[in-house]
Amino acid sequence: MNSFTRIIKSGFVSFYRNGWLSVAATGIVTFALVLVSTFVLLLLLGSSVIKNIQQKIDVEVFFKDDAKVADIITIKDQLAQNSNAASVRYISKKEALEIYKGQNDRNQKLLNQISEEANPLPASVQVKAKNPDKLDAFNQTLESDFAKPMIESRSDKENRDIIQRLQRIVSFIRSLGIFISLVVLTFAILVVFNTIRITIFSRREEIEIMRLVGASNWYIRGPFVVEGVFYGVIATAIAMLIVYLVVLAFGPALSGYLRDINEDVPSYFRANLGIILVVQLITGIGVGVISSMIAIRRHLKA
Amino acid sequence: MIKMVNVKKTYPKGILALEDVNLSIGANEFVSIVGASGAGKSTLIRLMIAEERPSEGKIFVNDRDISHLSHKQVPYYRRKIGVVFQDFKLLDQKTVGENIAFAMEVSGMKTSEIKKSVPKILKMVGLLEKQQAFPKQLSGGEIQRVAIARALVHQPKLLIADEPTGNLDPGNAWEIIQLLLKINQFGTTVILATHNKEIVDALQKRVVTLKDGHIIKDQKVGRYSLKK
Ligand SMILES: Nc1ncnc2c1ncn2[C@@H]1O[C@H](COP(=O)(O)OP(=O)(O)OP(=O)(O)O)[C@@H](O)[C@H]1O
Ligand SMILES: [Mg+2]
Repeated sequence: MNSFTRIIKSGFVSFYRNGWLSVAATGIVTFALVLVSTFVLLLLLGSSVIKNIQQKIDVEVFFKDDAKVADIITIKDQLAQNSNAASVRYISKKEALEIYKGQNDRNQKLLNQISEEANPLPASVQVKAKNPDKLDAFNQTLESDFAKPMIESRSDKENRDIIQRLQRIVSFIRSLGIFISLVVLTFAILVVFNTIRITIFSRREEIEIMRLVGASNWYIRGPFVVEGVFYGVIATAIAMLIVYLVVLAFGPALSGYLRDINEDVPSYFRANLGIILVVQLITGIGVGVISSMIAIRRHLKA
Repeated sequence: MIKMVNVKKTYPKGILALEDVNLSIGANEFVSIVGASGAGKSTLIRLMIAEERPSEGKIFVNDRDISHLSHKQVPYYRRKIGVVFQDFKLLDQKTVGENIAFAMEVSGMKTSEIKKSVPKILKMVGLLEKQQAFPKQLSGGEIQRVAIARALVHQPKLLIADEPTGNLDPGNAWEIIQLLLKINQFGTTVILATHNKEIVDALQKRVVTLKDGHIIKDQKVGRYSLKK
């Protein structure tokens, strides 16, 4: 054995000698890690949802019923020439009804109320954009004096509202997450700090003698830092398991909810497993190291 | 080897422990430091091992000023000197062997090397058969010898013993002194702080007398007397 293995061994011995205290310290660190990773997951998911929606924004232009088909086609052709247009499609009132019927084939009662004569669905032009961030490029056509009176509504504006609302929610979650995480992490540091202080207290004689016979500060500090790191690593393992189980349990429900924007939460979690693990390890070990360094400081004055 | 220049030490709350201390100790000397309780003997020793820093003055050990050692340097400095503490500073929950090994582990010695060295050192102080015993199971003289053994783990050129004959009967006390003399003969400077008149008188070596924190006498071949 050399100094390094001695330090590791000594740290591990304090960890299990502390018994319930170690359990409590590990518990609070675990709690903090689960919380931090929940927020990180939510944020990652949120920004991915936003990105997905952004990519899905097509401009859908709905026309008033009195607009002439020929005029609509003219507008469609103008849009097709726009450099940001990937594809343009005209959907007549009749086609709109077919599509609607296809989507709602179960609700027969509703369908019966809609006949071709009393068709409430508008004709529309759908534009898929090459760059979803630059939908304003179509304004030149759509806001023109020729087109404007015929247009009932445009869907990209609504979508943009949704995105803005989502962005606000995500930034709220971020602030909330940072705040709550800081509070819980501070609490975790305090608990670990006190646990390690108790270890130090029970070994103060040993520490004093170590100093007197020429142990370096790192040799004295080492075991306590190792003890702190143990709390962090074990807490990471437990927190990882908890987060994984939670995702398994609630992921499918969330995926169902987010189906329209194509988010499979469990597989999304699996894809981001590495990030979560790294975040947890850094946080957990950070809590352990910071706490132990503060706790031992007083005892090192040579 | 050691040179103290105008050293003064005050503890917190203005307690004056040492003042105007000028002392020079050469290599291979055997010096007794005597003085009444509270005269400042242990304080002098704590200054020499950089456990305390002088309030004023300078302390040179091997021409190096140790009053300004950095926190990093102190441990390495301490490994070069052996100290026998007035209160032993042995760990009750460790055996004699483990106490000795502890001091070696701290400096990063290999386990295999430690296993070989511990019995050798215990043999030097005549305690080989007590390696597995705990300090509580030993006599006062034996504990004192364990403390000396631990002080020797790094083969120091300087050994400082604070009151090593404190609670011993004359026979045991004399055995300890014989041990220190032997160590001195092998080429180690020995500094001995003591109250013990018989021993100091019998030693016929240098005696430095402290009174209320001042050196009042420094004799080449001294006798124990606390008067000027
Ligand atoms: N850590 C301390 N804090 C405050 N005062 C101290 C401290 N250590 C010693 N003193 C004081 O300094 C003075 C010298 O003490 P020191 O321990 O050096 O005496 P000593 O000569 O070793 O005595 P003894 O023979 O009883 O061991 C005493 O008045 C003591 O009360
Ligand atoms: Mg003393």
